[in-house]
Amino acid sequence: MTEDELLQRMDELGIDKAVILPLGMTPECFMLPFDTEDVLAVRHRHPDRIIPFCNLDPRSGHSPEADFTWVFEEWRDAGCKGLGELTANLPFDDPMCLNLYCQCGRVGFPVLFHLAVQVAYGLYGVADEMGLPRLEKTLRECPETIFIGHAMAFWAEIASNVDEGTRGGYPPGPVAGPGRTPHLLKQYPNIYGDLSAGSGFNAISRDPEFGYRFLEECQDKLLFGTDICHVNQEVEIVPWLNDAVVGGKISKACYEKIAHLNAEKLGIK
Amino acid sequence: MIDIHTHLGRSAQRGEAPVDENELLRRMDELGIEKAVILARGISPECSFFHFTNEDVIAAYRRHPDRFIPFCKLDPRNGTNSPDTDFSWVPEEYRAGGCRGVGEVSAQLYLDDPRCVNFFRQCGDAALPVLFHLVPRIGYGLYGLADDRGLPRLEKVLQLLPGTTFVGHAMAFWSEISAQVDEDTRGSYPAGPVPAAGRVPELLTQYPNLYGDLSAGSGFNAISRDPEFGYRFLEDCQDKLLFGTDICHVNQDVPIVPWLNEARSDGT
Repeated sequence: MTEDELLQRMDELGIDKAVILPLGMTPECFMLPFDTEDVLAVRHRHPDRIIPFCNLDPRSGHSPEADFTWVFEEWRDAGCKGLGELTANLPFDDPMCLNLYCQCGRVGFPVLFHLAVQVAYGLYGVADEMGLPRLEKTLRECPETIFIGHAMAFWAEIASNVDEGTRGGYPPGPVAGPGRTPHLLKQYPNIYGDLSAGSGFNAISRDPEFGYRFLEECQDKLLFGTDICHVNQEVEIVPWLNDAVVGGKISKACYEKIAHLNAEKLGIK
Repeated sequence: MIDIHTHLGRSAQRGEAPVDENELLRRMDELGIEKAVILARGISPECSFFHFTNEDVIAAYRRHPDRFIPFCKLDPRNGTNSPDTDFSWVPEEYRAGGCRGVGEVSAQLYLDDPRCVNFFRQCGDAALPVLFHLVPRIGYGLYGLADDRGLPRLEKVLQLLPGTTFVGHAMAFWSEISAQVDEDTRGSYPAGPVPAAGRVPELLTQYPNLYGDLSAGSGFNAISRDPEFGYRFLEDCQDKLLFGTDICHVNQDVPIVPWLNEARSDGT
């Protein structure tokens, strides 16, 4: 995926600006790095289209006392607006993660995380159990840090009808009742939801009536996203959201917040 | 001389100037080093904040093919974080780009972790030696593969993977030059006389697929802490040892070069 391909896809989809997340700072998910400096170079070439995030693995320095602040400040001064996608396969509340989150909060970086169902072979992402107790504990322990939830283990919990067999995938069909994700989004000011990828799209579209209601109710806490990482990747959420607002399923105000205003509120602009 | 162990790029120390290729070439000239292996930085998070990637290493090699020898670095957790990850295409691609080995492997995993064994096997299949940093345990503040005292995990892997050549480095490897080593000393630079040869000389002698990287304080301490033992060890294991510096700072002191030169000129 080159920057020209990304810009072309953004033009096709009507996306004005995109956050670029570094790849490969964490070994579990990639072999070939595209690091923070690479992201900043793209932003330098296209400052009107690209919003850079930095990334660092919580194990960098391998200590719960590692000092990341000077690195974050350097990257913030260079233009970075947040940190992510956090993909280390560690428990969500591992002391090294808490150390990283707190320092992100202090420098004003929202933390975008990929949530996995467990620490295990074949997985990447910070891990939590069903019901997201480690996430809730962390939201309380790091009130200064803004978290942005992403991936299957986060979005499967949009529904109360979720179990160990479904929480790591894309559970289809009706939502029996709101699950832990809507609950946490409403209760804690420092958690937002990243609607990108199959996980985010499945969560809002699996039960359309529930989905529209969820978007309205959590309209101040949701962020549009695609997770484009392949050439010519299909991005179903764009026509779906456009149809929803044109068809009156969601309000114009809700659409505008999700499409850009919430990101701007977080300094992601 | 061929230096088996140098790094370019930025360290994790705030404010420290990076080692760029001109600085490294200047230091090589001063020390009389004709060629140096360049090892990537980053890749495994435990030891660095910043990357000097395999592509960066290969680019430096292309600018100075007569002076630099590129190694590529991967983490055994790369790909799918699984003992079944297919690495084969990656080392082959890097070998085609000029890489002559893999390292420095610095993931904080047990040396015989199934993900490591899978990775090492495929390095052997690609005919790339694996240079590893060895530490005494899994723990905060450490980076590198971990083994227990006596290096049982290393021996198990040497037996399991006869087609892979390993190059040992760092304190937990070199403190075992001596039989007199314990949990307190094996992660550092034990000083003084070597009463008897330890596990490292034994493994180097016994296993054709293990070599020793003499770089850094750990390698130099091992051969110089008891000079008479050190000279004898160099003679006894002369077919299995590789000169190295571990240059990773600007103007880094490299005592092994004058020490080896003096040892040769003295005929000791």
